[in-house]
Amino acid sequence: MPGSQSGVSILGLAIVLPFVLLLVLAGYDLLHVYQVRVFAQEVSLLTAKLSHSASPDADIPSSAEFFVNPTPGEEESVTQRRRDYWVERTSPENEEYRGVPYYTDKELQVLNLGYGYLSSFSSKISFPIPNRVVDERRLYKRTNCTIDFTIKEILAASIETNHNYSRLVYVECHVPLLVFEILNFVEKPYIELTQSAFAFESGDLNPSSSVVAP
Amino acid sequence: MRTDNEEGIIYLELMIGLILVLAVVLGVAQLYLISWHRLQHEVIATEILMGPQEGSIYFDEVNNTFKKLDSSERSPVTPDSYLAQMAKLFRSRKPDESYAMIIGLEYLLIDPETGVVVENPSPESSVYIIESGLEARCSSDGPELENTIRNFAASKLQVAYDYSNTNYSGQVSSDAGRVGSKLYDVYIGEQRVRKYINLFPVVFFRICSTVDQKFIRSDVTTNHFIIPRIHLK
Repeated sequence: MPGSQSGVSILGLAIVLPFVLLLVLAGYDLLHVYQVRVFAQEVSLLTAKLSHSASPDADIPSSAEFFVNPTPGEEESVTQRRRDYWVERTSPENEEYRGVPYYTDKELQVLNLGYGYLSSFSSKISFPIPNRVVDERRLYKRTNCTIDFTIKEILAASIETNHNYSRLVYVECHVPLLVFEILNFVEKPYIELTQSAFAFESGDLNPSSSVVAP
Repeated sequence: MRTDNEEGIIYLELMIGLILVLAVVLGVAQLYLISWHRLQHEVIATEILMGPQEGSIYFDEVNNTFKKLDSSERSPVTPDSYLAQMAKLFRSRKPDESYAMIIGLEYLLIDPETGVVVENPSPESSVYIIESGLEARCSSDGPELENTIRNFAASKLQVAYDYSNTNYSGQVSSDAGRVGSKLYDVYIGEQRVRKYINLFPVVFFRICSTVDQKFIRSDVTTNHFIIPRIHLK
């Protein structure tokens, strides 16, 4: 083989290899997103199932702020913003406030099991998704997820503690991307996805007892 | 120096390679989309299982028997309203307009004394076709799907009938084969007495949806059956 042909072959390889590498990494991104999407759906469904239980078999955390798993090495301000997610939902002066009996012992047990299942999938998932983080690129080297639930009928001023409410359990995840960010295909360095499951008439919000559906 | 023939072969190989890569990518994408739709079907089925679970039989105080609810009976819940509640839940939870559901409520006839299925079951109840929108392409073959859900119900009911009658031994101490919902189980002196509800409801439904993306179009259909929780032992 003449030297010129060999040079052309090497040049061709040098041109093709980056494209192959990009394809492989793009495949990794897509598989990762798919994996987290399926798992988010599984977690939301399991948490919805647990919501039907009057007394889930789990420890009762002292407050919702128990559910914080920071990324190793992250700044304290970021960890604080993770705590703020729960603080805002349990502080009457905040617009995100859900009502005093919203996170009852039963709800805390359900979330404890839900977050435990999430951690069993991967201990590298950080939670919850912190509020208003300035430097998103530093934060989103890892997947961040939040498990929470909403009750459509509820307003902080009109909670009926003995009403049998339906809960919509949702799992929101921010999945970091490699190639799509490098190629500038996405506005953010991560992709947002939310999966939910509906727990029909899954009990009241009475702090001392929970009524479950018949 | 390459000849024209050699260059042509290289281009041809490149084209074949690209087409193969494209085919693999499309194949993987199709598998992903179909498996995702299947997962969504299972989620909806589980939500329905956890959902409206009102009783579908009632106690006739005049004749002292349990009866299947009928729209003509005075009762807070009829089979129609029971299924309508499930349909409402399905409509509120379907991920998109391509989803449709076919649903039917069937009963096993139970011997009240033994709990054994007494009659070879043949599905006869109304089948409801619940379309979620005009784009629910897979619901357009209504009669065919109706037959499919009846056949599915018949096969599952037959399994229950066979299991019950094969395993029932007649021994008082044995629970094998007794599939009915128990009303009571007491000892009167040395004698054990059981009583079962004479109807055992099973809800059968079929969910279908359409994967409709560029170059990928496929119908995804799954069958499900649930026993209303109130009848589970």
